[in-house]
Amino acid sequence: MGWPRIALVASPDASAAVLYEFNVDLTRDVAHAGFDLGAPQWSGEPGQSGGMDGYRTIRFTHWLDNPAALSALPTLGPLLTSASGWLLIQLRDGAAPRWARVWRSSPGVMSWDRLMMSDAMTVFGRHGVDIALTADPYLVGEQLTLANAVTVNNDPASGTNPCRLVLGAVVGDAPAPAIVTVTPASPASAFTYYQWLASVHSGPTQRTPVVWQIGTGDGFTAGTDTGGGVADSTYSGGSYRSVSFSTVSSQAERLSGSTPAALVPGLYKVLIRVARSDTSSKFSLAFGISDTVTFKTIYGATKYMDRATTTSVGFATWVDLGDFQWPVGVEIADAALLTNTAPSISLLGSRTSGTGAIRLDCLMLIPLETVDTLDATTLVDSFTGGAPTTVTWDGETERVWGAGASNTAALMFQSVRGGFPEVAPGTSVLTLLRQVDSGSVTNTIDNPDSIVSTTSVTVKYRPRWLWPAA
Amino acid sequence: MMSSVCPLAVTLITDIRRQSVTPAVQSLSFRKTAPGGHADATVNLAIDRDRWPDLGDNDRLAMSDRRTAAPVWDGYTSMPGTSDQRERGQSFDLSAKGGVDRLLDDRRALNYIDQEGTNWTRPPIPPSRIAAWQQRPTTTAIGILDGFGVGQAIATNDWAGMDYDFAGTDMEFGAIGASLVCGTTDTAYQVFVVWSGGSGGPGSVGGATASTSAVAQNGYVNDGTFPDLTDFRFALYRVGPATNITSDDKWAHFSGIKMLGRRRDKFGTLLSGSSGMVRNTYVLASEVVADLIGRMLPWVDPNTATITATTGQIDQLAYRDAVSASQVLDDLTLWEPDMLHEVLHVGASGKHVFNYRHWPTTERYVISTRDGWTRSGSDQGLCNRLIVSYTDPDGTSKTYTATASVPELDNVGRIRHATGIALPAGKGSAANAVAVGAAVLADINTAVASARLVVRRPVLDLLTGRMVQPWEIESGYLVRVREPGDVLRCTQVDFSWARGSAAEAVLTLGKPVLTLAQRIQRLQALA
Repeated sequence: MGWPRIALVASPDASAAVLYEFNVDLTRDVAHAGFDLGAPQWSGEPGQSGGMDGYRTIRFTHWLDNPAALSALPTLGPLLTSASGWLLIQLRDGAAPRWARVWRSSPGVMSWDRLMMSDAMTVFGRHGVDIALTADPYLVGEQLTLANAVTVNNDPASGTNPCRLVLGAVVGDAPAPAIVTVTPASPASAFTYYQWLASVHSGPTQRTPVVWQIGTGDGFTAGTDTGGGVADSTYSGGSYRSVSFSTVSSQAERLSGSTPAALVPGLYKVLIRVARSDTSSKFSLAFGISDTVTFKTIYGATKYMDRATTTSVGFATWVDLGDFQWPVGVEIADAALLTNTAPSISLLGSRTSGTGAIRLDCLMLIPLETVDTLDATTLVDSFTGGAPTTVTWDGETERVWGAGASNTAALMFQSVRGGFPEVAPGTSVLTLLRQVDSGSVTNTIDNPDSIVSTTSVTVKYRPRWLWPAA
Repeated sequence: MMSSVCPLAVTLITDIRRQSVTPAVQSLSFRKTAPGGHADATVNLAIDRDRWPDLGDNDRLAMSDRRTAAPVWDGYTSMPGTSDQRERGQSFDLSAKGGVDRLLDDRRALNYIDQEGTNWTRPPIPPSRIAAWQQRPTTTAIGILDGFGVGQAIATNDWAGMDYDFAGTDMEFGAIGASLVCGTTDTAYQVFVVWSGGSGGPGSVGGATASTSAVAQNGYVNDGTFPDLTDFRFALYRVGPATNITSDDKWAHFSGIKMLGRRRDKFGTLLSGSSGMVRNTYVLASEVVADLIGRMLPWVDPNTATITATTGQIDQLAYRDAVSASQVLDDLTLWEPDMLHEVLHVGASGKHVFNYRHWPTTERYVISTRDGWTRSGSDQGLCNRLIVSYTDPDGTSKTYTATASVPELDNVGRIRHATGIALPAGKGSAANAVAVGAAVLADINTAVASARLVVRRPVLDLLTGRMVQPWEIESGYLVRVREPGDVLRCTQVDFSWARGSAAEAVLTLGKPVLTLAQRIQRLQALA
């Protein structure tokens, strides 16, 4: 085997079977002249949305001695005509191997210009076979584990991994799909009729979600029919505020005021954790954010919490209030002009049916795009039955897999909305919530979102590279 | 975010599975309209059709934003075809229609408010009795006349009446309003309301002595007097002893009749009494929309449906032939041209989000023209005369010539007529002709505002306060086009993306000219 190692293999793993070795010895090798790994072709004009990386073309000439190595061609032929495959590229012994996913493309020509015939009518010489492979834009590296069975706590006020997991250093030249496996500690009810939210945001520096507690000492101003903090250990931060709707049940401001800390400018997904005081009331909420420059409060759409009647009181859930950019219209490039200040918020609420009160527990802001986060992907997965103990969101194939107690995996069929998890070079943070907008009106199973629940999370990914490893 | 796949996440939901197909998307496009909502979409998928034997008609196609998981477009598939390109492998085009299409699904005969006499019928009574509509016994208004003609011999409990039947429509009696006056004041005659077809069986209420003083007749379903019923009869009864009619004043005249069907609220609950039906003189477009949702749109989520209260008074809205919700919503624009309906994505309940709201008056998007902008001119020349023809209430045909001052024509002494218009039947009057003529001429002489704007990069959304991608632009809002300064309604968004090209949204902007019928309705509402 010669170096660099160029080979067609069965799968992108170091232990995979080698299907065809291109660079073996002097009788069978790869010419350095004209060797081209290509590069992803970008489409779309500068500044436009939705541009994408096109395929790369890998070209080289594979030389085979006639007759010593030519007999290997029947092995190569079927590989070049198969739908897809993996090309291993390893520059030297000790360098990390990388693989290109190659696709069926036109086979190249075989050169005949170095053939000769001996006096004894023996044909000998060398053939060059031009190889031109269409490959995925990026090379993939070996699968790496970013987190291995780490416990994530379901309480945003927890001291360790509060509804989120910092994934540490992600390597690569481009964002890569992630494979996230979650195993809740109480599996029997953790998936039936729950709606999970898994959001990953990445960037050069770590930025974790912002949590603003609502309850005793929160610093907010109570609105119409909103009481003070009520102590209760089953709520995050140990307390909540109750809105009774006793005088006004139509939409009115229930909470307002300046937030506890300055907010880094950017785009955030805002969620609120709420519960109800009875078993059947339904509510609607709308969130608004404002700054001292425009004095204008931007409200999001009204969100409804219309859970079916349950047998147990409480029913805590997160409600996705929408995505908000703060301050208005700011783009990443403008952020350098801005200093971080604390915005003011306004929470509108109404009771659409029933006589109960809504309990406001805390607000969480997940960064989707700030000055230190690149992009984010958010996946919402709605489970309507089935009882896996483990669920895997596989970003590589965009499949959802479930495994039972005996660990047999099955493809799960439920509604997913949004992008599968991806990690980008730098630091990534995974935010995990298990009960978001759970409002299937046909479901009457009680599945409270308990702040003492925990989930074991494993995250793996294959880095994406432009070039082979040194 | 990974840039080697489609910027939108695409999921297919069939009877047996729900699966992301984002990596296989080669191209996609969708359309949103206002009014309307999510209209149609096409996706080209590079997957083996044979691997999806369960994919067929009426499966669900859902598109969402990968960054925020927000829904972008939801709809139902049509039978997919297949294209086979051997060099590049098999791919097929999947087309889908959004929730807007479901407004055409169901058809019902709907009777919201009816003041026309054509739906009143003569019941089985002897031919000598008087029971007819469009009668005007005195100088009072046109209405139904029930009575006994001179020379008839009548016995106790003989009666003459006219029926209004809801059977055959999807509604039952909701409310009635009318004014009653009789030819004579005579205790031997009483006015009755007789009904049948309800859960309580036939019944009646009477006892109002015939009187020459006008008496209002008001009633609501389940108000303590009227139960639920489908057949309603106004009748004049002889309660005194048998007699011969000798004077031509033994009649009861019901005028200004407004018959209302029983509406439902958006949850489907039938409304009762004057508190439920609210009034018996007109209905509001917002009340009709709520009824449509509760009655024939079970796939719309009533919990999240937002219906803005309207003010236009609708005094005639009855469909004896079955009609779709789409048709009713279109007709409501006659009274409320500045309202729009939209059927949006499927929510957590599995049902569509539905809104009935105003066209906003402040702009939502601020967009530059740098990616493409076309504004059409007007192909209708200037005119300074318009002939309006109409039939006045007495039945005489008349015309009126409207005049407008147009300097370009007037300065050179040119008189130019636009194509004449005719006021619809029942709306003819001199006042209407003057007002409508002036308004139509003014429209003809103003360039129609319609334009096309291409968006390929993030734009500012003032409603949410953030930059949004081309696929997040919603129809049904106002757009300020930065360079020319126009503020126009966005009536349609056509988004498309394909491998190898940028994502692009083409916005159709403009403010449609009011139709003749809308213009007249508006004038009457203001009068």
